[in-house]
Amino acid sequence: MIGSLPPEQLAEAARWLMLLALAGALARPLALRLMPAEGGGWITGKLLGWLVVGWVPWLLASFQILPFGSASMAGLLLLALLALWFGPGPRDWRGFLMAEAGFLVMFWLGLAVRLQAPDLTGLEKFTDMGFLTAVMRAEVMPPQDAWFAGHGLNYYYVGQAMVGAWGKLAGIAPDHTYQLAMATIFGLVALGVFHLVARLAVPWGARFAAVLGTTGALLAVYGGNGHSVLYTLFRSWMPTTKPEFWYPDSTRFIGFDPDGPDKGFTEFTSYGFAAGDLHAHLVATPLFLLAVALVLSILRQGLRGVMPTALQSAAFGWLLGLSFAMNSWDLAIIGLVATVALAVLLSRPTGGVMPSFAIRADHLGASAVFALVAALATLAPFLEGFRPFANGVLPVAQRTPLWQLLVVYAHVLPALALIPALAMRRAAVGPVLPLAVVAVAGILLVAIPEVVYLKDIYGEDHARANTMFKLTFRAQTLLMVAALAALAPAFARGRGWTLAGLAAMLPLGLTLTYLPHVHAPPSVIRNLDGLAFLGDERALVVAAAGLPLGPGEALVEASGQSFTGSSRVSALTGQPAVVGWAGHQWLWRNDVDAAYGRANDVDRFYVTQDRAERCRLALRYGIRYVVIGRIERERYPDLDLPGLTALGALVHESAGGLILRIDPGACQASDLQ
Amino acid sequence: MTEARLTSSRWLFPALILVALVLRLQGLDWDEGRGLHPDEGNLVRAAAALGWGRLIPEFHAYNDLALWLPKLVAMPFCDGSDTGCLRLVARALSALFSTLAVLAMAGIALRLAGWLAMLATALLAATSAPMVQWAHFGTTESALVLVVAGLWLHALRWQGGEITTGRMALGSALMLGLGFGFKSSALVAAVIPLMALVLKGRPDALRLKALAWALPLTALLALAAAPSLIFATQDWLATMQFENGVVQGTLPVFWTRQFEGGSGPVYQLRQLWGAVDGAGLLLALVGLVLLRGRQIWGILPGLAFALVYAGLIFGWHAAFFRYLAPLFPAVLVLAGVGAAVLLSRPSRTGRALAMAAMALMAVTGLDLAASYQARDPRLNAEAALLARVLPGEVVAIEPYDTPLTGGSEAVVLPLDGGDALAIATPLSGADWLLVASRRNWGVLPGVPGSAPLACSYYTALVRGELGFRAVATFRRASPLGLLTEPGISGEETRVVFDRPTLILLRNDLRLDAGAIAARIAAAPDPAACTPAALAEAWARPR
Repeated sequence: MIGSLPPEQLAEAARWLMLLALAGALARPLALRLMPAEGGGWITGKLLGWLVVGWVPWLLASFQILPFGSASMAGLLLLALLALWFGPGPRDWRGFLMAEAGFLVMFWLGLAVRLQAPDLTGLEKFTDMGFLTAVMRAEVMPPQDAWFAGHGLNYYYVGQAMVGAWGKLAGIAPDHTYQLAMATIFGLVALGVFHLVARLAVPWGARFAAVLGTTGALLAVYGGNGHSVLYTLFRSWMPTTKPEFWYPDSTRFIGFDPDGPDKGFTEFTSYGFAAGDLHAHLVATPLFLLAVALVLSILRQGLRGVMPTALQSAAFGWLLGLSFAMNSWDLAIIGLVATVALAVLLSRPTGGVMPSFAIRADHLGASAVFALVAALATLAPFLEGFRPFANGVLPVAQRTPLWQLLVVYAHVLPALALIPALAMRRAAVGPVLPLAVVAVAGILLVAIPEVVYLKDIYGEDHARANTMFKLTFRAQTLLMVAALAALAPAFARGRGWTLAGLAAMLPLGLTLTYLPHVHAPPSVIRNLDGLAFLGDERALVVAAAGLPLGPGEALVEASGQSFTGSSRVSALTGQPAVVGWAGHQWLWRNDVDAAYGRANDVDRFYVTQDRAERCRLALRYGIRYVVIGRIERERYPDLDLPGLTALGALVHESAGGLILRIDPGACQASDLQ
Repeated sequence: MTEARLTSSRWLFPALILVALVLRLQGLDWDEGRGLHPDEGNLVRAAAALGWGRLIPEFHAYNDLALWLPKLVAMPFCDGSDTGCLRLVARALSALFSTLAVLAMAGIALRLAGWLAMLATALLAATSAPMVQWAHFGTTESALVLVVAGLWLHALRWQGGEITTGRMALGSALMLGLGFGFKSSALVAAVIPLMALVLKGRPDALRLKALAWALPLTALLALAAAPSLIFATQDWLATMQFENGVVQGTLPVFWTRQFEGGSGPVYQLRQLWGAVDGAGLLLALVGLVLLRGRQIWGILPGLAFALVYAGLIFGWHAAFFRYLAPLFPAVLVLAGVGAAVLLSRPSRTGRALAMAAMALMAVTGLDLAASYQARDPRLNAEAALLARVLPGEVVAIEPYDTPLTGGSEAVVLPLDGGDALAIATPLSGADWLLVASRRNWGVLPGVPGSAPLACSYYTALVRGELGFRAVATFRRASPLGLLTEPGISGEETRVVFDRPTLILLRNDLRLDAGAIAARIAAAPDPAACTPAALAEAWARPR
């Protein structure tokens, strides 16, 4: 009924949860300093604890002060020191228990979502496992790219590194870490959205805040968008070209249904959980929610005439810088939210508690400097190993038809319309402004991909797909948060407004029609194992994980198309292969020749009957081990097994395949003639 | 300053000096005893050759004290002919001088603008990236910085009535004489005490008397610190002539080819700007503009020296970065004063900007210091070569550089020649090519008069047209390196001695010499062989 895990895995989960609770409690004093008068600090403390404990080991390993694994405790130690420095904060057992209980329930539900299809294969799971295993194997950051031997990871991988730090801290294997991290993010997103909605709604009553916050939490992890309402409940009225609703359709609507030359992605958080990928945008969501919570907290205190402290500014800068390293788009998105809030603070009329414009500008200017310095200092260690792969910002050639935009955002529009309606009815401006900031930021994020996009490797039909994906992924959360919070003043006004509020809430609630595509009963929680899909290749992968590769050495396995089963050994072990999914490397390094050149070399390595050619390739890439498993035999029908075994000694053989070791002296100069 | 702040600054200042010392002493053996800094190598070898049988050195690019001091200090610890030990002692002395210079600069700032300026200056000097770097070299830059800062502090103390005229004259003579023992250019720092003397107004008898005995005393001390001037006059003068020819550009040497594209004041100012992240010069400007009253009198000796010295070296053809070292006391003290002025103003934005500027400079220095914890990339490249090179294989290397090939057979490519076949023949016979720094590719393509084939050679090399393919890159890892390291336009010695980027290439296509020569002799494409274009090409994934 409620599911369970084998005892040793249950112990792992318990250890993980206890560490999370400890980190949250230790981070609470800092959270209270950063966001005073914003609740008990348990939720923001938990979000902060998750980030700090993951980030500090990465930082120490980036500076080569401590090896990544040895540094895993450092984040907790830092939080403990900060807790000592700031003092424990007000005693609040009820708040602690409520937050922990809420998190525990959502964690367990999240674990069920992940474990309904526990295999770590399909979509981006090999990519994410490749990052995770590479960081958990590494001593210094950035880690070696398991899919491009000899080079560091060139992607925003720090979110996975932070997950790896938690895995190291709890002493858990990468695949189990992956599953527990997904459940944790599920729980943190629910708590984070609850906090945002509740804090926006609380001026109109704690009860409204609790109800709307809980609704927001559920919508964030289970709810769809306007499309998922209209194309399920009202499908017969909608102009669809598809025979039936499939849950990714709500993320592949613009340019897909009907098919068009300009495709856009409109993913949202619950889809991310349904897909089960530990990908950058999902991993960074707790940070995003915390950053927005901090901006709103600063805005609220600013509206009371209290300008941000240096600590708040620096913390915001830290979140801003870290967001770039976790999911680079978030830097612009969080920056946009902050800019809107800043504009509001600067534009408020002087008088009452509000100081003069000059004083505000001076305070906020100093805050901006602190924030930018902190952001730069935070992202600098990441930038050291990162070579940008975008090709600039371009104006869009095509725009989304208005009706399609209305379909995607249909669920939030009635509630958002309440904000100007309330303003016209002379509602108190102060409490409405923060939710207006959230709404405006969300609308801008929807509008930006209709104007400009970031050029990447994709062709014209997908030119703005990624830009739209990353911006609207956050926009949908922000708009849902603003929409829900906007219901509170309507409900508080009573009578006709209550009816209007209920009517506006209906489409939001209906997005839970998406729930069946995400939700799984806890009874599916049986095992954390994510590698069962490997079947008889499992022994091969386990053996590969233990291969002693020296600096500059690599293994070789079949490369192949993205999202296939190729490159599984490197992805699941973190051992560097000559090349993994070449298409992904093309995107990450913006160099098609390098990526596919390696892929072609790998193909040649397996099939050539020319010993000299194979030796040259082995020397070029420092190939020490050769994997010959099911994938290689399928991909290379003309595999030169005699030639390969003549070059390398057998070090592993199982039903899944074999591994050969090419010793340094295996190729002689005479072989190369 | 409030009492609480005064109290906190009492522990903060020693802490900053400790930070300065730690940053300078850690990673001192950054090349694991391999002696990879060429100038330092010359100094150490000359010092090792000294002894009872050779009291006067044969090497005069540095004066005698620069050689004898490490030799004497090393005596209790090791055999004086042990170059490894001498190198470490020379570096330790450099680190010590650099730390003392931090103290001196902080002392100047204290007298000019108070405690806050002292703390700001101590922070900036302690974490100054160039000072940290020079402290890791057993050469004379740190000593020169100390001499300038020491003389300025001494002058300021005299101006403030802290010491008598006699002590001022004696101290100045001592510092100038000893400074000359390290490097002849230290004598320019005589501007500092002389300017202080001028600023005092019409000289009284006491000051004239002091000047009368201080000048010959300085000369005597200088001769005592550099007896080569007496006992090897011709050799010393010949060296000075050689050095003069190099700096004026009348004597062509490889190391000054990088300046053939142009040097001069703008180039040097750009180097200085980069060395302090721009922020240092902006803060210094603020300091200069906002100084008032007596503070101006105190700043003038140091400023006058900086202007005279800059006027001297900014006109030189050779614009080596190390020549800027004596300017650092003026820049950092003024920057510290500027920061203090901003910090004590009511504007929060101004205070934040001052803190941000200081943080930027400090982070750059901390990053450089951290990089010495990482292994030298030449050693990593050597290890990679040893793991990959098969018996009998040949490694091609570039001239004028310090590659380590682990005992493999190495051939040097005559890259500055005009004969394509002379480059192609050893290249075609090589199995590997080790590019040990940007020293050649960052310079030679830009000087077609000296190296007519370099542009075509490097363009073809990075495009893989010579049959070589990059298999590994080695650089000294530092957490913020790409942000804080001097860019490709920075003077080469800022990186090639201690943090070069190496590229190891494998001869894949085995082209014959004729084919390679034909490609090297092809018409050059100047746009493809600029340092920036080549750097971009090297950085591409392989």
